[in-house]
Amino acid sequence: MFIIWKSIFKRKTTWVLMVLIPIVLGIVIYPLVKDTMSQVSVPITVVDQTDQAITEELLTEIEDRPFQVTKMDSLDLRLLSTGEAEAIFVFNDEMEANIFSGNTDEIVTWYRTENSYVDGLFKEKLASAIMSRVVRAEAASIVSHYRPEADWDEVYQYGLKYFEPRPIFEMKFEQISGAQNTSSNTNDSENRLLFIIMWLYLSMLIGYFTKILYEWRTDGILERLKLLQQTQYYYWSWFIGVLAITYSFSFVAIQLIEVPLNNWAYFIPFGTVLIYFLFFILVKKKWSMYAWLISYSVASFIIFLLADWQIIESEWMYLFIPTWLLG
Amino acid sequence: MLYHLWINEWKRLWKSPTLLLFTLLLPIALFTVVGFVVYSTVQEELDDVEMIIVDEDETFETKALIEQLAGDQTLAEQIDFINGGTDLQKHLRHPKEAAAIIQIPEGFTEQLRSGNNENITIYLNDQIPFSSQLAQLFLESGQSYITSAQAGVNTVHHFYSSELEGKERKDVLQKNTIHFTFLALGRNDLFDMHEGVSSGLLSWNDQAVLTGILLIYFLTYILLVSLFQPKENQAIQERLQLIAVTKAKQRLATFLFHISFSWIYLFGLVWVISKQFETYLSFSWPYVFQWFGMAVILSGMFMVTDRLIKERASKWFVFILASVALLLVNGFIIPPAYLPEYIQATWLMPVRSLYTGFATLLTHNQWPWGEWIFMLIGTGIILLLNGLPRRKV
Repeated sequence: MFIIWKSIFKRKTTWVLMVLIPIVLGIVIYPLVKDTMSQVSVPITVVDQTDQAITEELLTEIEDRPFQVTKMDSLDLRLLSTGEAEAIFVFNDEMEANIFSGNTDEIVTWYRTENSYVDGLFKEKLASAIMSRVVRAEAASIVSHYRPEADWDEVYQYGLKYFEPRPIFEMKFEQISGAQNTSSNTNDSENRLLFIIMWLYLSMLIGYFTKILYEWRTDGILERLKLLQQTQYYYWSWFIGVLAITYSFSFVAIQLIEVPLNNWAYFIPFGTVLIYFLFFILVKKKWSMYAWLISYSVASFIIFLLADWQIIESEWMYLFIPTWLLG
Repeated sequence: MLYHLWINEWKRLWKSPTLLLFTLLLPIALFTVVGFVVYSTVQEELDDVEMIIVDEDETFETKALIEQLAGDQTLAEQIDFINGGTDLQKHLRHPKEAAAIIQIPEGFTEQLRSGNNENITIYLNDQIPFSSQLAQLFLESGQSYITSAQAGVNTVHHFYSSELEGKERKDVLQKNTIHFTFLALGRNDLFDMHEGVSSGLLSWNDQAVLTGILLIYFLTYILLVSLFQPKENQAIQERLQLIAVTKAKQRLATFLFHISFSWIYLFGLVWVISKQFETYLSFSWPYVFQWFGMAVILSGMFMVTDRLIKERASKWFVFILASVALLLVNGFIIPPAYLPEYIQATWLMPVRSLYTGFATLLTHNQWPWGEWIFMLIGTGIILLLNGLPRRKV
């Protein structure tokens, strides 16, 4: 029983696949990727030639993410052609005075290129920050018009109470189907992406152990074992050993990614090992097994993502084992 | 000698036609199927986005709100607002094609006017994910403008119209509601927009085609290299050593084989795409050459990893990691302008030649000589690394 595992553990590749690569991925690569992704941002340049206080106010109101705003005091259109800025917003020299007097047409000049993708989102945020001032100023002017004795500043400040601490008009978003009430959580979907990547790795690892079975078959080891009538016994040993490794792997992985599990999820490692063992029984050539294995893994990966995005929802998708997590 | 080794690699390829077919077709099939499924779903869903409004309040303000939502220039063409009567439960049980159901509760206007926050509830239909996300995006942007408009109305009401009586009070309120709604929705007037043609960024279209070709090619390359690995046979190695075929030469032959395969493949791929989807990609030789350069660098990286690391799993791990890092730094995965600053550092400029070459070609319509020189230097370094004798450890 132990003799086959002794030979497997003598191979350097086993240790690289089971220990080295997961450790490097978990300790070095994953934090690095996460860090890099969190720094992905859209470069926006804001030009304010007279360094007005309101510019600073507006910019602090607009959330940073996903923008990286650089403030400058002169316009340099070359930033657009070099791709250093997605768009440039030039603030009028008398922003505040214009807002207060209601002359708000074209108080910001917006330079973009036809290839700017997401600057419109920044424009919307900027517009809403400016608009909260414009309406208050307008309200103050209307009140002053009908009630000359009213204090303009007081009315302007009063309007603020409809924006802070919570805006007066808010919408509450809910999902209808309720069947998967957690599906809108972005954190979960990130974790599910991690899960499927981990499954791909696991699938490759099992593929590696299956490859060893093929090597035994070609080297005639299995034939010889058959003579001793111990083939079944060795298959079982392989199967149980691989299951033990897969489950301990999954166990550690689950601790790290905190993905919500259902009852079916516990069968995913078992199902994967079983299906690759079936490939081994049915497919004679090692290279054809690779082709099957790769096709199945990649197809599962894609079907899982499509099912996670709810593009497909049919019974047949459960033929692809990772989707059991979503069942 | 190199020539024979190279030919031998090609022969090995022809010997397994099924495997070769698999290598060539799997990435393309995957891409086509996924592309088709996603595209048709998105297309079908976004064709006609419906939102049902259940207005339980039925006041002048709520009707104005519905009208202003329907009147928004940006998305109104795609979004249909349907008056859903007052039976919310019926719609919740059978949302059918509706992307979202908007429930305006009774007493909403009154609460809003007295300055209280009364939530409108939006039920998103997650059976149709794209439409409901679009609906959410649309409604979220509406939130801030409605707050602005209502803040204006409420402020004027507090200081002025609340003191009026009867019909006059009602008229002033309605007039202000309309006035502030238009003021808030006229947000585009705040901006004077200038759109220039010259840009350092690739268009969505070019970026998507680039990433698509790269994905298909990279997958095919990985399949080719992994499925057609030379057998590690001691006897063959000894015989080759006898006729002075060093390991370095064998690697070089494999390298040439990878390049020649990639060149034929990439030329075919670019040609077919440019014929089939003319609007997305127009065929040009410099564009193909840039891809050829990319193939040389990737194959070269594999050769160098092969030279440095013997153990297979770690070799593959390092190669895939290094290639993905290279592609990321270049901007194929995320457009370069959005990458963190340390990746955009100037000293990495030569490394980014793979991508900037395409940018020079596609946005400035110039031949990327500078980038090609960098790529040649890179190839030189790769060949040098392959030739260096391995130290005995």
